[in-house]
Amino acid sequence: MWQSLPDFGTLVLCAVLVTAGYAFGLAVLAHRGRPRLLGSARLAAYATAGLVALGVTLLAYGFITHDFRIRYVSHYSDRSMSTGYLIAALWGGQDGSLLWWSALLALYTTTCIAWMRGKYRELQPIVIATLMVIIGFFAVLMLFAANPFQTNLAGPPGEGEGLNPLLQNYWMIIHPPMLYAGFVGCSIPFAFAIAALVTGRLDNEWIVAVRKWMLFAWLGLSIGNALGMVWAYEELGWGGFWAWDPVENAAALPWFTATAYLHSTLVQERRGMFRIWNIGLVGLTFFLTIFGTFLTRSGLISSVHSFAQSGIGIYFVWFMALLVSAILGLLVWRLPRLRAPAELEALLSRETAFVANNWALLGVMTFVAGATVFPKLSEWLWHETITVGPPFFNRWVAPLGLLIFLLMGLAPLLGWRKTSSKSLLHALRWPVGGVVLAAVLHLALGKRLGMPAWVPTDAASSGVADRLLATFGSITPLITICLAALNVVVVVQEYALGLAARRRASRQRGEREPLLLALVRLVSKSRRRYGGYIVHLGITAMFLGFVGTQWAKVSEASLLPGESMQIGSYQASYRGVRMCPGNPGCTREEQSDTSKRRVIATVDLRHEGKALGRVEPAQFIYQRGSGMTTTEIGLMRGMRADIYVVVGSIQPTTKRAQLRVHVNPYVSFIWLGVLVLILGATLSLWPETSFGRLGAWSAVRFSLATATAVVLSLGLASSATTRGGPAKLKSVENRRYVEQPAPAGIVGLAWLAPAFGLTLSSLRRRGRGRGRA
Amino acid sequence: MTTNSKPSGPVSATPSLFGYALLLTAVATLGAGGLFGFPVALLVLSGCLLLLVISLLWVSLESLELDEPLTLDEALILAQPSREEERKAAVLRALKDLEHERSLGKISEEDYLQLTARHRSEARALISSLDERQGATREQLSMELGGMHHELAEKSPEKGQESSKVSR
Repeated sequence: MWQSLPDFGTLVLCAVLVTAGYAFGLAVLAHRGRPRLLGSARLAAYATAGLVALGVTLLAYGFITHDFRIRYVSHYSDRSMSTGYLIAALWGGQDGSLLWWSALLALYTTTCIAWMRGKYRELQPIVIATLMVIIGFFAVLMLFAANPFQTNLAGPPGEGEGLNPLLQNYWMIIHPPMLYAGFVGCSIPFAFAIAALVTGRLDNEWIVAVRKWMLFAWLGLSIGNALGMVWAYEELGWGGFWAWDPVENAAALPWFTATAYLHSTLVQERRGMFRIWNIGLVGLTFFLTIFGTFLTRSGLISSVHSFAQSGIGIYFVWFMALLVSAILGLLVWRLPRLRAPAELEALLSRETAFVANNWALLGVMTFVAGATVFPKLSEWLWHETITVGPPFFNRWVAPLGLLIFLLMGLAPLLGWRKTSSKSLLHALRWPVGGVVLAAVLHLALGKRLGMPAWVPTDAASSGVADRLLATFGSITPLITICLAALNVVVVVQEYALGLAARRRASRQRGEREPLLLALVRLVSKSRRRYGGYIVHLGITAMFLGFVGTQWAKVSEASLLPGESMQIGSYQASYRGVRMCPGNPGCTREEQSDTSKRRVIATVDLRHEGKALGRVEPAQFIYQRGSGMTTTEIGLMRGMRADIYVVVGSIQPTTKRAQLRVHVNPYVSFIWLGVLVLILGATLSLWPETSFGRLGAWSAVRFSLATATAVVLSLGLASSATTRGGPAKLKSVENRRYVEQPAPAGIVGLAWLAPAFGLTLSSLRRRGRGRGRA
Repeated sequence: MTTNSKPSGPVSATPSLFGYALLLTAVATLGAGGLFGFPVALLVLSGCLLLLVISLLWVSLESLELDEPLTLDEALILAQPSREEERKAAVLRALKDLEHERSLGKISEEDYLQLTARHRSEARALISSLDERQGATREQLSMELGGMHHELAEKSPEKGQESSKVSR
C-alpha cells in the first residue's frame, strides 16, 4: 500500500486515526485510576501530531513535484504556479484544507501538551482525550469522505487545472491560515472546559489555564476576519469589504461568542459567578467553529467562496450532535456543583455591564446565524427560498452593534460589585463632555467635511419596525461619532486615573516616579486591563471605518481616452488602455507572463484640482481553463478616503472604457483599528515575567521570541494598510498582486511557530526556576 | 506514596530528547534545502518526522508497563482545592479589587467601608475554618513522620539522620 506517495499518504492518515485512538485510550485510563499512563498518553499525542505533520509534508511534496497522480494536486495546481502558490494550494480546496486544519490542530495540541507539563495533572488526561477525539474526527473525515491523497481514476493528467485565479492573491495566502488559527485555537479552551466538567474541578483553575489560549484564538479570528475583509475589498471589485456572505458570517460567529467569553471570564475570576455561562460560551464558540466549517463545506448554503457541494456534511452533523450532547449532558450532570457562590450585588456594577454586553453579543450572533441559514430554513418550512441581503443585515446589526459600542464605553467606568450613582456621575463628566463636543462639531462641520451627521435612509417597507430602523439608520453617523468620542475619552480617562493613583501611591512612599515610567509600570502590572483598553481603541477606529460607508459615493461612466468624470470633489481622468503582453508600454513582468492577457486602463486622479496620482485598474483574462476573467481594481489609499476604480468592458477599437469609481471615506480606519487591536491583544497576551527571574540565556531567547512574534504579527497586519501604497504614482505598481513574491507571507507565518514555541519554552524554564526557588 | 521529587523512567527523559530531535530535524531539513533544494528538504523532513513518530510510539508503548507510585509533588498537584479554599481566594481577591477601585475613585467611601467590612469578616471566618481543619491533618502528619523517624533511627542511626532532614 505504501509503494507510492498517494498510497503512503493514505496510510499516514490511517495511522493518525489509530494513534489518536491509542492516545485517547491511554488518556482515559490515566484519568480512571492509572495516572502513570499520562506520560505514555502525552507521547502518543505527540506522535499523532507528528503523523499529521508528516501528512502535510507529503502533500506539500506532491504539489512541489507536480505529482498529478494525486487528484487534489491536479485539481488545484499546474506547472506554471510559483512555489508560494503551490504551498498555498494546500488549503485552496476542500480535502487539503481539512488536512491543513488537522495540522494546525496538531500544532496547537503539541504546544498545549508541552505547556501543560507538570501542570494541571488532573485536567491533562481529559484535555488530551478531547483533542484526540477532534483530531480523530478530522482523520475519519479525510479517510472516508475527503481524502487529499485520492488518486485520479483515469490516471495522471499531463497538466493540472491550476488554482482559481481569485485565490491567487497575497491575502488569500495568509487569510485562511490566520482564520484557521483562530478557529482551531478554540479547541484548546473547549478541551479544558470538558476536562473541568469531567473531573469536577470547576473552580477557577481551568479558567486561568485557558485565559491566554482563548485570547490567542480570538486574535487569530480577528486578524483572519480582517484579512478576509481586505481580500474582499481588493479582489472582488464591488467596492465594499463585508457583504454578509454566508462564509463571512460563519467566520464571524465564533468571534462574537469568544468576545463575550473574554469579558464574562473576568466575572468568574473575580466573583466566582457565571460558571455555567462560561462553560456554555466556550462550548458554543467551539461548536460555532464546527458549524461554520459545516456551512462552508457541506454546500448547504451557496456563497461566492464556499467549497463545492460534497458528502462531508453528514459527518459534521453527527459530530455537532456529539458535541451538543456531550456539553449538555456534562452540564446537567455537574449542575449542583456549578451553582455560583455569589450573585449580582447592584445594578450599577461592572458585572451587570458585562452581562448586558454578553447578551448583546449573543444577540448579534444569533441574529447573524439565523439570517444566514434563513434561506434554507424557509425552504424547509415553507418550500420557498427567502433570501436576505446585505441591506437587511445592515439595518438590524447597526443598532445592536452600536449598543455593544455604548456598553464598551460605559463598562470601564463602573467598578466591580457596586458603583454609587454619585461615583458614576463623577466618572461620566469628561466622557459626556467629549460626547457633547463631538456632537456639536459633527453637526456644525460634518456636512462641510463630507461626513454629514444625518444621512437619509429609505425604509424597506411601510411597517413600523422598518420605519424605526430607517430613522435610526439616518442618525447612525451622529451616534457613531458620539460613541467613538465616549470610548476614546473613557480610555484616556482610565489611563489618567491609573497613572494618578500610581503616582499618588509612590509619593506617599516618598518616591518620585516619572510619568513615562509610571505608565510603563501601570501597564505592565495590569496588562490584561490596559491591553484591553487599547483593544477598545482599535475597535473604536474600526467603527469609524464602518460608518464611513454611510458617506461613500459611487459614480459610473463610459469614457473615451482623455475624458473625465467627477465624483464629489474628486475627478478621474481616463488616459488610455494597453493590452499585455504585446504592447510596448507593458512592463517586463507584464510582457513575460503568458498565463493571462491583461487589459489595463490608465486613470489619473485629482482632488479639488490637485493631482493625487495614477491608478491602473485592469481585467485579467486567464488562458487556462475556461478563460476566466478577473477584475483587478485600481486603488489609491488615503486616511480621509480611498479612491477605488474598477474598469468594466473596454471597446478594442475606440478604447471606450466603462469606469466605476468609488470614494470610500475612512476605510483605512478599519485597517488601522485592526493594527491597534493587535497591539492591545499582544499587550494582554504578553507573559507576566521579569528579566530578573530569568537566566541570561532564557532572557535572550524570551526577548528574541516575543519581539519576533510581535513584529511579525504587526508586519502581517500593517501590510493591509501599506500594500496599496501611498497616494503616489508608484502606487500603481503595488497593485500587481499576482506578480508579488508570495512566499514572504508564508515564511513570516512559519517564523511565528518557533517564536511562539520559544516563548513557551522560556516560560516553562521560568516556571521551573520559580519552583526551585 | 513515596517522597521522590522527580519521576524516573523513559517518559521523563523523553521531552528533552524530543526537543533535541526536533532541533536536529530542523537543521537537517534546512541543510538539505540549502544543498539540494526545496523538494529534497521536504523529503528529509518527512523522513525525520517518521523516525520521530516511531521513536515516540516506541517509548510510549515501552512505558506502558511502568506503574510506579506517585511522588508527593504529583499527588499534591492532583489534590483538589476545597470549596472553602476557593472561596477564600475569591474573597482575598475581592479585597484587593476594592482597594484598586478605591484608588481609582470608582467606589464611594461608604460603599468601600461596607463591602470591605463584609469581606474581611468572611475571610476571617474562612481562614479560621480552614486552619481548624488543616490543624488536625497537620497533627496527624507530624505524628506519622515522627513514627517513621523513630522506626528508621532504630534500624540505623545514619538513615535516621537523613530522615530527620527529610521531615524537616
